[in-house]
Amino acid sequence: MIEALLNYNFLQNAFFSAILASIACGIIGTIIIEKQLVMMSGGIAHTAFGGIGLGYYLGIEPLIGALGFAVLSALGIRRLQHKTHITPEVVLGMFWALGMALGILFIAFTPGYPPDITSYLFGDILTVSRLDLIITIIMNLIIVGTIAVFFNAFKTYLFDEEFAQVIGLPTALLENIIYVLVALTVVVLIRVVGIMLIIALLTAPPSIARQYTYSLHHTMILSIALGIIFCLGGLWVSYVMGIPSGAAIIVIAVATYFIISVIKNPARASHI
Amino acid sequence: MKTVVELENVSVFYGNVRAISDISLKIEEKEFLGIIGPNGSGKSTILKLIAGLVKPSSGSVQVLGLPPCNTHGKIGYVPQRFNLNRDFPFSVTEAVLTGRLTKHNLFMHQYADTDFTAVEDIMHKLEIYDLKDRQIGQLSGGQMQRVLIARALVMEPEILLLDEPTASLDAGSKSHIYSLLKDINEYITIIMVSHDMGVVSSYVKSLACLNVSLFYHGAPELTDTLLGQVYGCPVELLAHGVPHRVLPQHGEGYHD
Repeated sequence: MIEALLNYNFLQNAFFSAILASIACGIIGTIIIEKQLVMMSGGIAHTAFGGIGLGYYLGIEPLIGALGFAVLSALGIRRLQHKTHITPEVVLGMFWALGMALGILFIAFTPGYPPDITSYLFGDILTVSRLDLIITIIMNLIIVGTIAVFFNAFKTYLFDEEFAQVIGLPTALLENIIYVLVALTVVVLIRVVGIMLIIALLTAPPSIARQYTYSLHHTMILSIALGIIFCLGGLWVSYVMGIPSGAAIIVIAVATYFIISVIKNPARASHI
Repeated sequence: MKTVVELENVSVFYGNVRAISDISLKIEEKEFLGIIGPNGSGKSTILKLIAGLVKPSSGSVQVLGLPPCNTHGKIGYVPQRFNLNRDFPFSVTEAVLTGRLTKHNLFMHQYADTDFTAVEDIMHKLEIYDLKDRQIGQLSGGQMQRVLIARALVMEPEILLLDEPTASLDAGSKSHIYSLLKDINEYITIIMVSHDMGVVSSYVKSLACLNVSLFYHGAPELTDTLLGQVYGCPVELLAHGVPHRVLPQHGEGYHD
């Protein structure tokens, strides 16, 4: 595997995108767990499929389409949740399904032979291109930079939104930023684990990490490390056994989560 | 005496629901006001109006001579601790430190040595210094409440707002919190929403009885007639003295 990694370009791309995805995932995953935005993130991920379809239809890079859809849907969902009395979950469910439906329609409208969409739905880290890698690097810089620069503000806001507002933090802006960063993370993860599997890679590493540390930035760092282990482990299994990489990564991540949770909370586990 | 909070004919609607109706209230400097009333009477809404978290549907709110959205840093807010995420990866020190954050220097913000000194001082004062490295989920209700009060006090506010600080605490923790607030009141105006009106009336300097409208604001002397009006049913108020109980003893618990 090491030799192959040195020789094959596609494996190098896969290797770097696994690491970059884990960084975005560890930081944003920690935030969505604390802010209870897990389903929200799933919704944004599925809406992004509409953008992939649009990308094919317009003949542009599908990930760029996904980026546009993800960001707009994230902001749209937030706005509808705040400005209307529609139940937030309903808004989310509608966007979730609408995005998928639009994606299928755009692909149906696209002339010629229909493209293979499974790599976007279930991820295929071995097909990550140079352009994918560049997009991933840019997204990561934005995510890491934003959180690092305003870390104390985000920490205050994540723990207690009302208090943050009373001391004068721009809470609406912070919330919008978080939604946009979730959208960027989704785009980073589409190539690695695919739209359908994103939720597990976002939640498993921080859910394990928070059982071992009581500080927000340590949770993020530990989540990144765990994400790297899961992604590279999945990549290796997938390369050696010739099985789909996204599924391999998710199975490893979720299995690890359950094993560790049962070991760490024996009493609670026996109640289930 | 200076008026620090002034509500004039304030009403608040949440959608079609009227939370508070046509309330006028003046609160003086160094007052220790207890706001009591049944569930859904708008007690928390009054605090949120003063904190700038809720805008009045009609009427005007002035806090320290300013609209509440311009009073950042002068208002210490202690929310109901049940609404907070106790699993948040946060030590006691970190939680209290967030009270030192202001809107002016969020970019690349680092807490200064003076912030840490102020936090340590306040933790000593509230007797939570020994807990400084604990994760906030590992605190008792009373300890968590003191952490939230510390976080508000470390801002050095001019007004302290507390939303049900003693809800579902045992008697010992309750009186600890109240006597603490009494000390703090030497130099800060305190406005507190509370459920246990009996105990409250023996600590506060003045009392407001609320049930959507304001029924009473004045010295902490409650009568059965007044409570009957506010709660819409006869409420048993035991003889004044310490401690009061409004309902017969039926074990500790928070009924909501």
